[in-house]
Amino acid sequence: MRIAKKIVRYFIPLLGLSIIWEFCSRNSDKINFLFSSPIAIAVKFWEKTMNGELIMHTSITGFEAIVGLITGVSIGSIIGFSLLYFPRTSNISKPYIVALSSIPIFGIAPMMIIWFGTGLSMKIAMAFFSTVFTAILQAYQGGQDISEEESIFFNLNGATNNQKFWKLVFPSSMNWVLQSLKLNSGLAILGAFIGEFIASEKGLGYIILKASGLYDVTYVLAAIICIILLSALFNFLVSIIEKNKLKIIRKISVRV
Amino acid sequence: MIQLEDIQKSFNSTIVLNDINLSIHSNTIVTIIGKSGCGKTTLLNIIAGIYEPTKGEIRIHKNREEAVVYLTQKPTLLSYRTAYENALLGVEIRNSIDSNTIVTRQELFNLFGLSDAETKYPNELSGGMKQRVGVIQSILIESDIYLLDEPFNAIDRNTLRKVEKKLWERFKEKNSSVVLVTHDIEQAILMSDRILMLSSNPGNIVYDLNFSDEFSKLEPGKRKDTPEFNEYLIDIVKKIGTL
Repeated sequence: MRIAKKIVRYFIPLLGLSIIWEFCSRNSDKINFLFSSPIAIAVKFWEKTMNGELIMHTSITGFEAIVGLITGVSIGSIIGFSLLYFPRTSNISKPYIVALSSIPIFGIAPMMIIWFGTGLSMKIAMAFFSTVFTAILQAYQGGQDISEEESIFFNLNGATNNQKFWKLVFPSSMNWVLQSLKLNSGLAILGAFIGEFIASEKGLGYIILKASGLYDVTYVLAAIICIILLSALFNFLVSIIEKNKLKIIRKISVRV
Repeated sequence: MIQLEDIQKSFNSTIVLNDINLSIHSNTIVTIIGKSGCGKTTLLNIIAGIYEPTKGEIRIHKNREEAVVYLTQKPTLLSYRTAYENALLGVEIRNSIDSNTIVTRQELFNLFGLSDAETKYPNELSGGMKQRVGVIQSILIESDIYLLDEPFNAIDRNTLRKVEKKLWERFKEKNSSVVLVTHDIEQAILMSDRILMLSSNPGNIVYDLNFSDEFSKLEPGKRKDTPEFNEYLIDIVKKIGTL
């Protein structure tokens, strides 16, 4: 009952907005041309899902984003944690990493075509570069965030670097890594999407570009719904990992 | 054995400890008392190797990491480990867990009233329970030197006497050198063989009280009924008044 109430409460604004939108679209051709209408979008979404078109393109974008996200966050976290053990290198490299992370991904897209061509690997690379720098910074920050007393305890007991990492640094930084996964899931989708937007024949970026060219706002908005759903799916997957955080940490670090 | 020679410690230009000369032999429990901020914890940190002394020399008969166990005021309990696992953290890092450790841990948990708390995480434990787990974590480690910085201040009175007795027995059984910091004079007399009093600004040893052999042999629970207990208590209270 409570869940039903919650759902109703969340859907009321959306329903209200859709009714106003639908009403305006039906009474103005201009509004209908520029913004389409909720019913038209729903019909298009249903049609294109049923014939498999949207499912195929969404899975391609999702695949590129998830591969880019996993490799970006994994490699980024490994680099971030490694920097903790080389303080001099990390001091020198930190401003460079911050600078690199601030480069708009759109800016390096043409370069990605030169490096990786126009295929799937280019989109994965775009998703990877969208996520890796944030992942480095998050893991590094997480590793630095461990309590001094806990670190001293490990040192006084003669812990090896390996023990200190798996029993203290990694578990204590888990929140930062999960945060990085959460932040980067949106960036990975954006990276893959921009890759498709620049050069592609598949994926949601391609669909949106093609539909825009044909002034088919309805299809553009139906594809945007797919991006939102994809993003929600990624967030859901991260929230599952978050819920099992303690189990994961304990499996990795507790050996008694 | 621990030997400190002419130890001085300054932070910026403030001298916190000055001219500390001290030898602590095996099978000796030394308690350091003094006013807040007189440098008691700093002294323990120097012995543990967390701080380097500004001047002077410190000698420990063995490799420091092997020989020294340090229990701080706030015990190190990791949030993702249960009380049981946290108690074994020190021995786990030192790779010295054996079946004996597990049996001792179980006995200590029962004795310290923690048998129901074994599977609880630190955020589910009270301050006193955390300190008791910290004490178990430290004494499970087989070592020669134990540094204890006010490890009992959150433990209730009834449990405290059990903890003191068990610690005393264990330290005597293992011939350990122990340096205990406390504000509780009664506890200092019950637990120690020797009491050192530190002055403030800078911290210096102003009083060194060695208990008689007969008194030192008595376990903590039996000391309170002796006439020496009151004599030592009056003596120390008088000396603290002059600081």
